Amino acid sequence: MVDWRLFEPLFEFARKRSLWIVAFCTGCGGIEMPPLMTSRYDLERFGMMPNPAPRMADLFLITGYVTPKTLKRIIITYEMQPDPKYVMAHGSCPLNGGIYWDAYNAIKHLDKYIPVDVYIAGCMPRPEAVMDGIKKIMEMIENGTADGWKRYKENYEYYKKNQDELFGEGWREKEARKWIPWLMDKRREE
Amino acid sequence: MEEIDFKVAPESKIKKKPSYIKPWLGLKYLFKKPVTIKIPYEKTQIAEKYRGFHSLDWKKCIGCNFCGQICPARAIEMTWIEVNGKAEKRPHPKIDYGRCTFCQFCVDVCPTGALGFVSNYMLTTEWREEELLLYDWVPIHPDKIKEINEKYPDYRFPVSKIEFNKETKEVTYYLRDGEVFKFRILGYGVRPPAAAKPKPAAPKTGEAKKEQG
Repeated sequence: MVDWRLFEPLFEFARKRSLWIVAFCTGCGGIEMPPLMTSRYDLERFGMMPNPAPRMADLFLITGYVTPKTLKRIIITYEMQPDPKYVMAHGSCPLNGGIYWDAYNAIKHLDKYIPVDVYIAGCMPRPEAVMDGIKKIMEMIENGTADGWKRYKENYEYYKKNQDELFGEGWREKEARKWIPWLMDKRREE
Repeated sequence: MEEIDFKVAPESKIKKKPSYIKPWLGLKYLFKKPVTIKIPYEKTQIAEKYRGFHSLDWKKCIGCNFCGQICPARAIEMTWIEVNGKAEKRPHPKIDYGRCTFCQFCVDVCPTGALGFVSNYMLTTEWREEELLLYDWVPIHPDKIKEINEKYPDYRFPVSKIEFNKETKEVTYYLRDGEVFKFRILGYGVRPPAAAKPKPAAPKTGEAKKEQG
């Protein structure tokens, strides 16, 4: 049996050099992501790639405000990712509500619901600021301090409690069954 | 009924013929210099008046709370401050970058020009609560920020660490050039707190409160 912990520094180097992003654009940051990927501020130099499938991705960019309806999808997507997964929150909205501090339908503190590793200030942050955040997350991966996925496992009860407080118990099932009556009505009409 | 003439471009001018050769002309960019800015090694030029973080001249600020009233995100909270054991006569704005949208209305509305902005825009922190305190500060003097910017021209937040002692309400700024800046927060809001009433104003505020009550 090989002790894989010996190879951990090598794995961490590999992880930090090939962060793949879930292309999940929430809020205004969806507009700021294409310039990051295109030729002016090229993120592929860091080995990052926008990736449509959460199963293949490492890094989750929360770009902008999060509504409860989006947060359900974000949590489901986050739990679909394989284990070394990191979350980066852009702008002020995930941090403290942002300009939607008064909105009934925006999440004020994102880190109550999923663990966040790096925060970036700005509304929206410039691509350079985002790159600074990416540099920071690379350093954190190298140090081993980017442990959001570990925290999510350890404090799962805390996160689960907050999610259930917001959505109500059994929201996953309800969300899945939401469209069934509508579909049945459609079929009856036909 | 009048006839209205529109100038409509004929379709023959707009519609392009499909071609097999023309898409290959894109290959000429293979031999051109890429426009990529290699960020960790190169720098971009920021506009001189890029709306970044704030700066506050503590001598000029009169604590009128205009900035707090115009702020669309309500990110500004007036704070009563004690520096070196001496309480400031007027409250100063404390800006929360967890809400600020960098519209800089507060700078436009400031009657004395005490609140300004600098082109620094980078602030990146980890998830820990001690580090998230960085997002909540009373801005420092613009000359001090300029001094730090000349030393480190990378448009970063001029404070590297903020410590907040919850018991004594003492805030410590560790500036990027190694200086330490300390003050105490006595209270929040427009009204002076009970702990730090300036002596001549003390009876007056008491009366005002009584009248309202």
